[in-house]
Amino acid sequence: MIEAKEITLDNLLSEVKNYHDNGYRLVTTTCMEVDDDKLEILYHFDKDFKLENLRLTVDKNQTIPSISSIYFCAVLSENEMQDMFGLKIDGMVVDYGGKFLLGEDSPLSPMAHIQIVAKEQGENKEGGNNA
Amino acid sequence: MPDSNISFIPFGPQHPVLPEPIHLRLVVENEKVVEALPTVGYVHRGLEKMVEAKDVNQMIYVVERICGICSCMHAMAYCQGIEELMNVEIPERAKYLRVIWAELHRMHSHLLWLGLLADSFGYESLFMQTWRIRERVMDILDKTAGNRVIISVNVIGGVRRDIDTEMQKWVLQSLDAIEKDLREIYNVMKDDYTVKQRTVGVGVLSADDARELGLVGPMLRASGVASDHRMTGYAAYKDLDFEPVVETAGDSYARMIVRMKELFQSIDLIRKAFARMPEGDIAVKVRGNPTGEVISRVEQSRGEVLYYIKADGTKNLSRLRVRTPTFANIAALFKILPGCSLSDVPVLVLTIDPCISCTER
Repeated sequence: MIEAKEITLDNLLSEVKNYHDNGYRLVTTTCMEVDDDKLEILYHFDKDFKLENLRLTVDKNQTIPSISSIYFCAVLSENEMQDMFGLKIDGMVVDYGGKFLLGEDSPLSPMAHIQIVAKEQGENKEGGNNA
Repeated sequence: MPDSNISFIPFGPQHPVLPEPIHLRLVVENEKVVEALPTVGYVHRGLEKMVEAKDVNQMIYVVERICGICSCMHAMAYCQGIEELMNVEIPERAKYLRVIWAELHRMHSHLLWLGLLADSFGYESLFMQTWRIRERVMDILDKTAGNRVIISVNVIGGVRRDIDTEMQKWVLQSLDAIEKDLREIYNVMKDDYTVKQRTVGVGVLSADDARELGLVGPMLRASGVASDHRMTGYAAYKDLDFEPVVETAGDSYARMIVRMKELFQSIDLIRKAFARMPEGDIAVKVRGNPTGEVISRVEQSRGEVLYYIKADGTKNLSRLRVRTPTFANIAALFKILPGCSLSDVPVLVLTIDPCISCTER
């Protein structure tokens, strides 16, 4: 297991700000499904080759605050998480509206497993999934 | 200022100087760019999702195809991650061979970029000269690995091929010739009036800007930040004594100089690796499936790549996340394009050495 500090929505921004103020570079964010109801987001920070991680677990229907007001570069990986997992993110400095990597005809939230279930059941792939 | 001086210019995704599809929505006031919004999304392939269909070993071939230019280093980062998860120690010789092929990839990537940069400001002869030199690097890859671009030498547990003594001599002779040609190109590019006019003071990023934007690789080092992940000593880098190439001006010229100096550094590293490479096996057999989560980072030609790998003991990984260097460096465009002249846009886009295929995966 990688070392990651567990955080909540309440202290997400303060923890990220703390890394920013201490000179850490935001490496990226990683999103993954925990189960049908939850997503996990890892925030990776680097300083002098030392990697530190924050781990946030949220319900799929929860909205998380964007960290792009602290680290501008987060807009890229946040938009990717929005595209790929249907993660709802509030306050992104640049919001590509779910079309950062995906096109107009792309399936919605393709990295979310519920997408596969919907297709196997013969549902319209553009139809309701979006985790 | 009347509104009529404001224009919206779509730049790309098909554009003569862009080898890959990236679209820039430029807001221009007369000839000056006042706002720029980079947009990708034309070549997304869903490669991370392929872990659901391909097993741990098959994924090596998938990650090699994230990007042709740094395919070897994608496989290296992936294999290092899986090896760490499975507590596999690869043979010393394999570590050196990985370094040699990685540095050859860095060389052909930087040479490709130099050619494109020269072409972007109209130096077609310089473009042809750099790509002519690059062909010699491709010949080395072809002779040593059997392929020019996607060489597929990394396996979990080591490497697939060895480089014997005779071949080493030939490679070293080829590198001598390449170095001589490179020296001539370097002298032209570093002092040329036109090159300087198009790059010096253009697209300046301070060290703070570079860190704040999360930049990596030559983008970061050209702004005075001595960050090169090879310094952590993965593979055989710990035995090769080197310092990162750093420039402080933070402009397009500094980014060019960093990449050119790194070409000589790569030659030096390959020579050292051949000189210090021990005899022995090139791979160990690995059985079973990985369990756990790991982060593997490697310094590619364009900068640090991050692999997040999560495995649950089955033959398929449960998550693979790849943050490629261009994905990080695209953030620079938000900073360096506003305020520049419209004619500088192609040069500035190229100075981040964009690989959109990598970015979108």
